[in-house]
Amino acid sequence: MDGIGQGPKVAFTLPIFGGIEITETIVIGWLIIAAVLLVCLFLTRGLAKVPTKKRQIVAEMFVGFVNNMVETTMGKRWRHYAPYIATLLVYAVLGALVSLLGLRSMTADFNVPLTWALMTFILITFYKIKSGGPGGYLKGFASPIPLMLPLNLLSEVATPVSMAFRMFGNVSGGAVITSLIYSALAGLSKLAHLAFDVGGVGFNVFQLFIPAVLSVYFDLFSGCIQAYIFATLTMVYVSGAAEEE
Amino acid sequence: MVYAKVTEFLTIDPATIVLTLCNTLILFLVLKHFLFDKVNKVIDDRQNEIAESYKNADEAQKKAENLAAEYDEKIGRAKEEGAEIVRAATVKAQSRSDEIIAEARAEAKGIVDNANDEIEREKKIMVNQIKDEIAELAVSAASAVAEKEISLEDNERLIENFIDRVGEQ
Amino acid sequence: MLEKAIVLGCSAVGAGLAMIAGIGPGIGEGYAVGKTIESIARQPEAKGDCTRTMFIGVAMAESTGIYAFVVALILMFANPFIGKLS
Repeated sequence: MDGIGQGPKVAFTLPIFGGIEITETIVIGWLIIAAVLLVCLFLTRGLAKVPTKKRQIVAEMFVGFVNNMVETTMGKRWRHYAPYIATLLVYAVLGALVSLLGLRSMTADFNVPLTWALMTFILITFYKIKSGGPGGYLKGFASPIPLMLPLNLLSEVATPVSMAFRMFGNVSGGAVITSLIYSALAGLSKLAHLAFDVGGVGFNVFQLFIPAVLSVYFDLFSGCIQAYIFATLTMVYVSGAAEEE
Repeated sequence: MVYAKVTEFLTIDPATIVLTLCNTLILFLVLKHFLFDKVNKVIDDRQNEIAESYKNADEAQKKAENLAAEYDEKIGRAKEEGAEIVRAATVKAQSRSDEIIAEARAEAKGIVDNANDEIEREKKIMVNQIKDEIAELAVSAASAVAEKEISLEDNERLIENFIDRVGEQ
Repeated sequence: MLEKAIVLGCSAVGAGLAMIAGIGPGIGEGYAVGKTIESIARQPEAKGDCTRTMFIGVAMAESTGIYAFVVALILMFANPFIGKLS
């Protein structure tokens, strides 16, 4: 049962402020940033008004997809939000997909979706205060009757918490199920006498193809859908907060 | 890599949160600066260019339509002018031909009148001449008769006859 | 030792019970997808909007199930009651 139900490992400890523990999550995040930076630099090299290269078409397709998504969900004047939404999408999708490379899913660390949910929460609050003024924002909690105050407060807090737990639950659930399947297949291989020990490395026949098929659902599909839903919910909440009243 | 420590399944770690926040912001800036700004600029440029060319084409078409209308108008005016010129020329030619005909008539009439006068005059001259000749003849006839011995009666009758005949002529 | 065993066993039972909550989202999501298919069949041109709205709705409906799942995971892997024993 190695790796099941464990948090991210600590990669190294920075010797400042009494030792800051840098976990796997952060290191994977840096890798993703580096990869995205390289891909962006490659895709946007030699942009021309009339696209001739395939990479420009790919770049324009991605940008157009995100722009279109933001414009249909939030409206035309929110186009400047496209990079932020794209950040969430890219980070969440790649963070879930690194599990295909044998690394730990980045979004399976509760801190990551929590951070994004907090960012969304801050944006929601900012736009609510901006559209209704500080007084209107505070008054919103006591509507329609002051008796609703605790419920309104709870629902306000529930938004980021539910967003964070939804993403974390899906991705870490996928990771847990995948590792459970791995160990189950190892046991099954042993039962069928198909487990070999090659030079100290365990080798189980049943672990060869079955996890790949399941991983397509639990890592690829679930990760992409959750990233899309997280981005969509962020857009809906933020534009809803700005257009209240 | 040797991991020093494994964290709990579900921990809230402020350092990770802050660092993830930084990572997200860095990725945001990377995507915004290196992908979205550039590609959006290219897409907007292209759209502006397309709009521009559409506008130019519209303008050119409008211009061409204006020119065609102008030409049509000009051609119509030219046709009208031509018709006017032809009409004026016809009228002028008509009047001129009338004039010429009238002149010719007048001239012809003049000629005919002159000719009539001449004829009249000639006639008169001729008549006078004939009268003179008749008188001469009469004299000669009388002298011829006078040579013969005729009676007074015959003589008178002869003269009367003669004069009658001449008068009839 | 016995106390620990009791706590662990009860936690495992609790995790299993928590997953009963999976029934609710299952029914709800099935209903939502069915309705979406009905509306797509009626208006195939609205497929994109229907699908997008359905995914959001399904994700929302899934929340309760996910919460239960998280509770189960916590009970299994980050049991908070073991620490309270000593």
